Amino acid sequence: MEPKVPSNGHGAARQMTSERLRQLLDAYGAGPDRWPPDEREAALALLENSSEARAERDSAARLDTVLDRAPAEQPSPALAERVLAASPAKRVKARSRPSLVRPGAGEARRSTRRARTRLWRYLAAAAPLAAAAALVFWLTRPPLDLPHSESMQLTIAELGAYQTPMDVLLEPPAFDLIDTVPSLGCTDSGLGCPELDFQREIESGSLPMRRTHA
Amino acid sequence: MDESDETLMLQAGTGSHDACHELVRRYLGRIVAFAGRSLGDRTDAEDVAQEVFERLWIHARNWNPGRARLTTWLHRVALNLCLDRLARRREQSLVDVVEPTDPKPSMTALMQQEDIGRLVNTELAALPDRQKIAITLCHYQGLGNIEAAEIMGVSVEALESLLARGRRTLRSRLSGLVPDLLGES
Repeated sequence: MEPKVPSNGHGAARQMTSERLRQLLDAYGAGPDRWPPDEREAALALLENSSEARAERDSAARLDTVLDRAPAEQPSPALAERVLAASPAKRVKARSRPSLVRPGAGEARRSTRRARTRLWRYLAAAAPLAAAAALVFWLTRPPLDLPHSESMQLTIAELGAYQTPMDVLLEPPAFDLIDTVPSLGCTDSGLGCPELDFQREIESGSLPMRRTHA
Repeated sequence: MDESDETLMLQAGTGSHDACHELVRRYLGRIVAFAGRSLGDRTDAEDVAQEVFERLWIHARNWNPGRARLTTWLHRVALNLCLDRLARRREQSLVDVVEPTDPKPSMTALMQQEDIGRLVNTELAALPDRQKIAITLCHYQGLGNIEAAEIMGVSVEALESLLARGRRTLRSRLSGLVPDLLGES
Protein backbone atom coordinates (compact mmCIF):
# COMPACT_ATOMS: atom_id res chain seq x y z
CA MET A 1 0.00 0.00 0.00
CA GLU A 2 1.34 3.34 -0.98
CA PRO A 3 0.98 6.05 1.65
CA LYS A 4 -0.45 9.25 0.33
CA VAL A 5 -0.76 12.70 1.69
CA PRO A 6 -4.41 13.61 1.48
CA SER A 7 -5.94 17.00 1.59
CA ASN A 8 -9.40 17.94 2.67
CA GLY A 9 -9.90 20.06 -0.40
CA HIS A 10 -11.42 22.89 1.53
CA GLY A 11 -8.60 25.30 0.81
CA ALA A 12 -8.26 26.27 4.46
CA ALA A 13 -7.65 24.25 7.58
CA ARG A 14 -10.65 23.64 9.79
CA GLN A 15 -10.46 24.28 13.46
CA MET A 16 -9.60 20.98 15.08
CA THR A 17 -12.10 19.74 17.62
CA SER A 18 -12.75 16.40 19.25
CA GLU A 19 -15.68 15.97 16.90
CA ARG A 20 -13.59 16.72 13.82
CA LEU A 21 -10.85 14.37 14.99
CA ARG A 22 -13.45 11.65 15.46
CA GLN A 23 -14.66 12.28 11.92
CA LEU A 24 -11.13 11.93 10.60
CA LEU A 25 -10.60 8.68 12.49
CA ASP A 26 -13.92 7.30 11.32
CA ALA A 27 -13.28 8.15 7.69
CA TYR A 28 -9.55 7.73 7.19
CA GLY A 29 -8.46 5.50 10.06
CA ALA A 30 -5.64 5.95 12.53
CA GLY A 31 -2.76 6.71 10.18
CA PRO A 32 -1.91 10.43 10.13
CA ASP A 33 -0.52 10.03 6.62
CA ARG A 34 -4.10 9.33 5.46
CA TRP A 35 -5.52 12.48 7.01
CA PRO A 36 -5.87 15.73 5.07
CA PRO A 37 -2.44 17.40 5.31
CA ASP A 38 -3.79 20.76 6.34
CA GLU A 39 -5.51 19.21 9.36
CA ARG A 40 -2.82 16.77 10.33
CA GLU A 41 -0.76 18.94 12.62
CA ALA A 42 -3.74 20.16 14.65
CA ALA A 43 -5.12 16.65 14.92
CA LEU A 44 -1.82 15.30 16.25
CA ALA A 45 -1.68 18.13 18.79
CA LEU A 46 -5.14 17.27 20.03
CA LEU A 47 -4.17 13.63 20.36
CA GLU A 48 -1.27 14.54 22.60
CA ASN A 49 -3.55 16.39 24.94
CA SER A 50 -6.55 14.07 25.02
CA SER A 51 -6.60 10.52 26.36
CA GLU A 52 -10.11 10.12 25.04
CA ALA A 53 -8.89 11.03 21.56
CA ARG A 54 -6.03 8.53 21.86
CA ALA A 55 -8.48 5.80 22.82
CA GLU A 56 -10.49 6.53 19.71
CA ARG A 57 -7.31 6.56 17.66
CA ASP A 58 -6.36 3.10 19.03
CA SER A 59 -9.78 1.72 18.21
CA ALA A 60 -9.46 2.97 14.65
CA ALA A 61 -5.98 1.43 14.44
CA ARG A 62 -7.33 -2.01 15.38
CA LEU A 63 -9.88 -1.82 12.61
CA ASP A 64 -7.12 -0.79 10.20
CA THR A 65 -5.09 -3.83 11.24
CA VAL A 66 -8.00 -6.19 10.59
CA LEU A 67 -8.71 -4.58 7.23
CA ASP A 68 -5.06 -4.91 6.25
CA ARG A 69 -5.26 -8.68 6.70
CA ALA A 70 -7.52 -8.97 3.69
CA PRO A 71 -5.40 -10.27 0.83
CA ALA A 72 -5.48 -8.53 -2.51
CA GLU A 73 -5.91 -10.38 -5.78
CA GLN A 74 -2.66 -10.77 -7.64
CA PRO A 75 -2.46 -10.72 -11.42
CA SER A 76 -1.65 -14.05 -12.96
CA PRO A 77 1.40 -14.36 -15.24
CA ALA A 78 -0.97 -15.18 -18.09
CA LEU A 79 -2.77 -11.86 -17.58
CA ALA A 80 0.51 -9.96 -17.70
CA GLU A 81 1.36 -11.74 -20.94
CA ARG A 82 -2.00 -10.91 -22.48
CA VAL A 83 -1.69 -7.27 -21.46
CA LEU A 84 1.82 -6.96 -22.86
CA ALA A 85 0.85 -8.78 -26.04
CA ALA A 86 -1.63 -5.99 -26.75
CA SER A 87 0.82 -3.21 -25.94
CA PRO A 88 2.25 -0.79 -28.52
CA ALA A 89 5.68 -2.35 -27.97
CA LYS A 90 4.46 -5.71 -29.27
CA ARG A 91 2.74 -4.09 -32.22
CA VAL A 92 5.90 -2.21 -33.18
CA LYS A 93 7.94 -5.39 -32.78
CA ALA A 94 5.53 -7.33 -34.96
CA ARG A 95 5.69 -4.68 -37.67
CA SER A 96 9.48 -4.60 -37.65
CA ARG A 97 10.03 -8.35 -37.40
CA PRO A 98 12.29 -9.52 -40.30
CA SER A 99 10.96 -12.01 -42.79
CA LEU A 100 11.88 -15.67 -42.52
CA VAL A 101 12.68 -15.68 -46.26
CA ARG A 102 15.29 -12.98 -46.32
CA PRO A 103 16.13 -9.86 -44.37
CA GLY A 104 14.37 -6.79 -45.64
CA ALA A 105 11.89 -8.75 -47.71
CA GLY A 106 9.05 -7.26 -45.79
CA GLU A 107 10.20 -3.74 -46.53
CA ALA A 108 10.79 -4.65 -50.17
CA ARG A 109 7.29 -6.07 -50.42
CA ARG A 110 5.85 -2.98 -48.87
CA SER A 111 7.87 -0.79 -51.23
CA THR A 112 6.68 -2.79 -54.24
CA ARG A 113 3.12 -2.61 -53.02
CA ARG A 114 3.42 1.15 -52.61
CA ALA A 115 4.90 1.54 -56.12
CA ARG A 116 2.13 -0.62 -57.57
CA THR A 117 -0.46 1.43 -55.82
CA ARG A 118 1.10 4.64 -57.18
CA LEU A 119 1.12 3.19 -60.73
CA TRP A 120 -2.54 2.28 -60.54
CA ARG A 121 -3.27 5.74 -59.28
CA TYR A 122 -1.46 7.31 -62.23
CA LEU A 123 -3.19 4.99 -64.67
CA ALA A 124 -6.55 5.76 -63.22
CA ALA A 125 -5.83 9.46 -63.67
CA ALA A 126 -4.33 9.10 -67.16
CA ALA A 127 -7.00 6.87 -68.72
CA PRO A 128 -9.72 9.52 -68.91
CA LEU A 129 -7.19 12.06 -70.25
CA ALA A 130 -6.07 9.67 -72.98
CA ALA A 131 -9.65 8.92 -73.97
CA ALA A 132 -10.43 12.63 -74.16
CA ALA A 133 -7.33 13.31 -76.26
CA ALA A 134 -8.26 10.51 -78.67
CA LEU A 135 -11.76 11.90 -79.07
CA VAL A 136 -10.46 15.40 -79.77
CA PHE A 137 -7.99 14.07 -82.34
CA TRP A 138 -10.70 12.09 -84.07
CA LEU A 139 -13.07 15.03 -84.22
CA THR A 140 -10.44 17.49 -85.54
CA ARG A 141 -8.49 15.25 -87.92
CA PRO A 142 -8.00 16.68 -91.56
CA PRO A 143 -9.95 14.91 -94.31
CA LEU A 144 -7.99 12.64 -96.68
CA ASP A 145 -7.81 14.46 -100.05
CA LEU A 146 -5.75 11.98 -102.08
CA PRO A 147 -7.66 10.53 -105.02
CA HIS A 148 -8.48 6.93 -104.67
CA SER A 149 -6.71 5.87 -107.85
CA GLU A 150 -3.51 7.61 -106.93
CA SER A 151 -3.44 6.01 -103.53
CA MET A 152 -4.00 2.64 -105.12
CA GLN A 153 -1.12 3.25 -107.47
CA LEU A 154 1.11 4.18 -104.63
CA THR A 155 0.12 1.07 -102.84
CA ILE A 156 0.93 -1.09 -105.83
CA ALA A 157 4.21 0.71 -106.31
CA GLU A 158 5.16 -0.17 -102.80
CA LEU A 159 4.65 -3.81 -103.64
CA GLY A 160 7.47 -3.62 -106.18
CA ALA A 161 7.87 -5.00 -109.73
CA TYR A 162 7.36 -8.52 -110.89
CA GLN A 163 10.48 -10.07 -112.33
CA THR A 164 8.99 -13.39 -113.27
CA PRO A 165 8.03 -14.43 -116.85
CA MET A 166 4.59 -15.24 -115.46
CA ASP A 167 3.95 -11.53 -115.96
CA VAL A 168 3.58 -12.36 -119.59
CA LEU A 169 0.52 -14.40 -118.86
CA LEU A 170 -1.16 -11.37 -117.36
CA GLU A 171 -0.56 -9.22 -120.39
CA PRO A 172 -3.56 -9.14 -122.67
CA PRO A 173 -1.42 -9.28 -125.85
CA ALA A 174 0.01 -12.58 -124.75
CA PHE A 175 -3.36 -14.29 -125.06
CA ASP A 176 -5.22 -15.11 -128.20
CA LEU A 177 -8.60 -16.35 -127.19
CA ILE A 178 -9.48 -17.68 -130.64
CA ASP A 179 -6.20 -19.46 -131.23
CA THR A 180 -6.85 -23.24 -130.95
CA VAL A 181 -3.23 -24.03 -130.53
CA PRO A 182 -2.07 -23.79 -127.01
CA SER A 183 0.94 -21.71 -126.61
CA LEU A 184 1.59 -22.37 -122.95
CA GLY A 185 3.80 -25.40 -122.61
CA CYS A 186 3.59 -26.19 -126.35
CA THR A 187 7.06 -26.66 -127.68
CA ASP A 188 6.58 -29.11 -130.53
CA SER A 189 6.63 -27.11 -133.72
CA GLY A 190 5.37 -30.18 -135.58
CA LEU A 191 2.10 -29.84 -133.80
CA GLY A 192 1.84 -26.26 -134.82
CA CYS A 193 3.13 -24.83 -131.66
CA PRO A 194 4.26 -21.26 -132.15
CA GLU A 195 7.84 -20.52 -131.73
CA LEU A 196 8.11 -18.11 -128.92
CA ASP A 197 11.23 -16.12 -128.63
CA PHE A 198 10.74 -14.08 -125.48
CA GLN A 199 14.06 -12.40 -125.61
CA ARG A 200 13.43 -11.14 -129.13
CA GLU A 201 9.97 -10.00 -128.28
CA ILE A 202 11.20 -8.19 -125.24
CA GLU A 203 13.88 -6.49 -127.21
CA SER A 204 11.37 -5.51 -129.86
CA GLY A 205 9.13 -4.09 -127.14
CA SER A 206 6.13 -6.24 -127.89
CA LEU A 207 6.50 -8.13 -124.63
CA PRO A 208 7.26 -5.89 -121.66
CA MET A 209 9.60 -7.39 -119.18
CA ARG A 210 8.72 -4.99 -116.39
CA ARG A 211 5.47 -3.55 -115.44
CA THR A 212 5.90 -0.13 -114.06
CA HIS A 213 3.61 2.40 -112.64
CA ALA A 214 3.84 6.01 -113.25
CA MET B 1 13.16 2.84 -14.20
CA ASP B 2 12.64 6.12 -12.40
CA GLU B 3 10.73 7.91 -15.11
CA SER B 4 7.47 9.61 -14.26
CA ASP B 5 4.19 8.13 -15.35
CA GLU B 6 3.84 10.87 -17.93
CA THR B 7 7.22 10.09 -19.46
CA LEU B 8 6.45 6.39 -19.53
CA MET B 9 3.16 7.04 -21.25
CA LEU B 10 4.80 9.14 -23.95
CA GLN B 11 7.45 6.46 -24.49
CA ALA B 12 4.85 3.68 -24.51
CA GLY B 13 2.94 5.59 -27.15
CA THR B 14 5.94 5.32 -29.44
CA GLY B 15 6.23 1.58 -28.83
CA SER B 16 8.92 1.52 -26.14
CA HIS B 17 9.22 -2.02 -24.83
CA ASP B 18 10.73 -0.93 -21.51
CA ALA B 19 8.08 1.71 -20.88
CA CYS B 20 5.23 -0.73 -21.51
CA HIS B 21 6.79 -3.27 -19.16
CA GLU B 22 7.29 -0.65 -16.48
CA LEU B 23 3.69 0.53 -16.68
CA VAL B 24 2.50 -3.05 -16.34
CA ARG B 25 4.84 -3.59 -13.41
CA ARG B 26 3.62 -0.46 -11.65
CA TYR B 27 -0.10 -0.70 -12.21
CA LEU B 28 -1.36 -4.10 -13.27
CA GLY B 29 -1.28 -5.43 -9.71
CA ARG B 30 -2.95 -2.33 -8.30
CA ILE B 31 -5.76 -2.42 -10.84
CA VAL B 32 -6.34 -6.13 -10.33
CA ALA B 33 -6.44 -5.54 -6.57
CA PHE B 34 -8.86 -2.65 -6.91
CA ALA B 35 -11.17 -4.56 -9.25
CA GLY B 36 -10.88 -7.68 -7.10
CA ARG B 37 -12.06 -5.85 -3.98
CA SER B 38 -14.76 -3.99 -5.88
CA LEU B 39 -16.13 -7.09 -7.60
CA GLY B 40 -15.13 -9.86 -5.20
CA ASP B 41 -14.21 -12.10 -8.10
CA ARG B 42 -10.76 -12.83 -9.45
CA THR B 43 -11.80 -13.69 -13.00
CA ASP B 44 -13.89 -10.55 -13.35
CA ALA B 45 -11.06 -8.53 -11.83
CA GLU B 46 -8.58 -9.82 -14.41
CA ASP B 47 -11.03 -9.12 -17.23
CA VAL B 48 -11.45 -5.56 -16.01
CA ALA B 49 -7.70 -5.07 -15.65
CA GLN B 50 -7.09 -6.36 -19.15
CA GLU B 51 -9.68 -3.99 -20.56
CA VAL B 52 -8.21 -1.08 -18.61
CA PHE B 53 -4.79 -1.73 -20.11
CA GLU B 54 -6.19 -2.17 -23.61
CA ARG B 55 -7.63 1.32 -23.24
CA LEU B 56 -4.37 2.54 -21.76
CA TRP B 57 -2.39 1.38 -24.80
CA ILE B 58 -4.81 3.15 -27.11
CA HIS B 59 -4.67 6.24 -24.91
CA ALA B 60 -0.86 6.22 -24.82
CA ARG B 61 -0.61 7.30 -28.47
CA ASN B 62 -2.43 10.55 -27.74
CA TRP B 63 -1.51 10.97 -24.10
CA ASN B 64 -1.80 14.54 -22.88
CA PRO B 65 0.35 14.83 -19.74
CA GLY B 66 -1.42 17.90 -18.43
CA ARG B 67 -4.93 16.49 -18.34
CA ALA B 68 -5.01 13.96 -15.50
CA ARG B 69 -2.76 11.89 -13.30
CA LEU B 70 -2.27 8.41 -14.64
CA THR B 71 -3.40 6.82 -11.37
CA THR B 72 -6.60 8.87 -11.45
CA TRP B 73 -7.25 7.93 -15.07
CA LEU B 74 -6.59 4.23 -14.50
CA HIS B 75 -8.80 4.01 -11.43
CA ARG B 76 -11.60 5.96 -13.07
CA VAL B 77 -11.64 3.63 -16.05
CA ALA B 78 -11.46 0.60 -13.78
CA LEU B 79 -14.23 1.98 -11.58
CA ASN B 80 -16.55 2.52 -14.53
CA LEU B 81 -15.94 -1.01 -15.76
CA CYS B 82 -16.56 -2.40 -12.27
CA LEU B 83 -19.78 -0.41 -11.88
CA ASP B 84 -20.99 -1.76 -15.23
CA ARG B 85 -20.41 -5.30 -14.05
CA LEU B 86 -22.02 -4.68 -10.69
CA ALA B 87 -25.07 -3.23 -12.42
CA ARG B 88 -25.30 -6.27 -14.71
CA ARG B 89 -25.10 -8.53 -11.68
CA ARG B 90 -27.97 -6.71 -10.04
CA GLU B 91 -30.08 -7.02 -13.18
CA GLN B 92 -29.27 -10.69 -13.38
CA SER B 93 -30.04 -11.24 -9.73
CA LEU B 94 -33.52 -9.77 -10.29
CA VAL B 95 -34.12 -12.28 -13.06
CA ASP B 96 -32.62 -15.31 -11.42
CA VAL B 97 -34.50 -17.25 -8.80
CA VAL B 98 -32.16 -17.13 -5.87
CA GLU B 99 -32.20 -20.03 -3.48
CA PRO B 100 -32.12 -18.88 0.13
CA THR B 101 -28.62 -19.56 1.32
CA ASP B 102 -26.35 -18.37 4.04
CA PRO B 103 -24.67 -15.32 2.50
CA LYS B 104 -21.36 -16.00 4.17
CA PRO B 105 -19.53 -18.96 5.61
CA SER B 106 -20.13 -19.64 9.26
CA MET B 107 -17.89 -17.90 11.72
CA THR B 108 -16.77 -21.20 13.17
CA ALA B 109 -15.67 -22.52 9.80
CA LEU B 110 -13.81 -19.34 9.01
CA MET B 111 -12.10 -19.19 12.36
CA GLN B 112 -11.11 -22.81 12.06
CA GLN B 113 -9.43 -21.92 8.82
CA GLU B 114 -7.96 -18.84 10.47
CA ASP B 115 -8.89 -17.05 7.31
CA ILE B 116 -9.58 -13.65 8.69
CA GLY B 117 -8.51 -12.04 5.47
CA ARG B 118 -11.19 -13.89 3.55
CA LEU B 119 -13.72 -12.93 6.19
CA VAL B 120 -12.82 -9.27 5.81
CA ASN B 121 -13.12 -9.52 2.05
CA THR B 122 -16.51 -11.15 2.42
CA GLU B 123 -17.74 -8.33 4.60
CA LEU B 124 -16.21 -5.73 2.34
CA ALA B 125 -17.94 -7.25 -0.68
CA ALA B 126 -21.25 -7.08 1.19
CA LEU B 127 -21.05 -3.29 1.63
CA PRO B 128 -23.01 -0.98 -0.62
CA ASP B 129 -21.02 -0.36 -3.80
CA ARG B 130 -20.10 3.27 -3.17
CA GLN B 131 -18.95 2.62 0.40
CA LYS B 132 -16.94 -0.38 -0.74
CA ILE B 133 -15.29 1.59 -3.54
CA ALA B 134 -14.51 4.53 -1.27
CA ILE B 135 -12.77 2.27 1.24
CA THR B 136 -10.95 0.43 -1.52
CA LEU B 137 -9.65 3.62 -3.07
CA CYS B 138 -8.57 5.31 0.17
CA HIS B 139 -7.57 2.44 2.45
CA TYR B 140 -6.35 -0.23 0.05
CA GLN B 141 -5.22 1.77 -2.96
CA GLY B 142 -3.72 4.49 -0.80
CA LEU B 143 -5.15 7.37 -2.81
CA GLY B 144 -5.63 10.82 -1.30
CA ASN B 145 -9.13 12.01 -0.56
CA ILE B 146 -9.18 14.59 -3.35
CA GLU B 147 -8.10 12.06 -5.95
CA ALA B 148 -10.52 9.42 -4.67
CA ALA B 149 -13.37 11.94 -4.70
CA GLU B 150 -12.46 12.93 -8.25
CA ILE B 151 -12.44 9.31 -9.39
CA MET B 152 -15.84 8.71 -7.84
CA GLY B 153 -17.25 12.00 -9.00
CA VAL B 154 -18.27 13.15 -5.53
CA SER B 155 -17.23 15.91 -3.15
CA VAL B 156 -14.64 15.35 -0.44
CA GLU B 157 -17.37 15.67 2.19
CA ALA B 158 -19.44 13.00 0.47
CA LEU B 159 -16.38 10.77 0.24
CA GLU B 160 -15.74 11.17 3.97
CA SER B 161 -19.33 10.25 4.68
CA LEU B 162 -19.09 7.11 2.51
CA LEU B 163 -15.83 6.14 4.21
CA ALA B 164 -17.19 6.64 7.72
CA ARG B 165 -20.39 4.72 7.07
CA GLY B 166 -18.51 1.87 5.44
CA ARG B 167 -15.98 1.57 8.24
CA ARG B 168 -18.70 1.68 10.88
CA THR B 169 -20.55 -1.11 9.12
CA LEU B 170 -17.41 -3.21 8.85
CA ARG B 171 -16.58 -2.67 12.48
CA SER B 172 -20.07 -3.65 13.50
CA ARG B 173 -20.08 -6.84 11.44
CA LEU B 174 -16.53 -7.86 12.23
CA SER B 175 -16.84 -7.17 15.93
CA GLY B 176 -19.14 -10.14 16.23
CA LEU B 177 -16.70 -12.38 14.35
CA VAL B 178 -13.29 -11.26 15.55
CA PRO B 179 -14.02 -9.24 18.71
CA ASP B 180 -10.60 -9.90 20.17
CA LEU B 181 -8.88 -8.39 17.18
CA LEU B 182 -11.01 -5.30 17.47
CA GLY B 183 -10.51 -5.05 21.21
CA GLU B 184 -14.17 -5.59 21.94
CA SER B 185 -14.11 -8.94 23.62
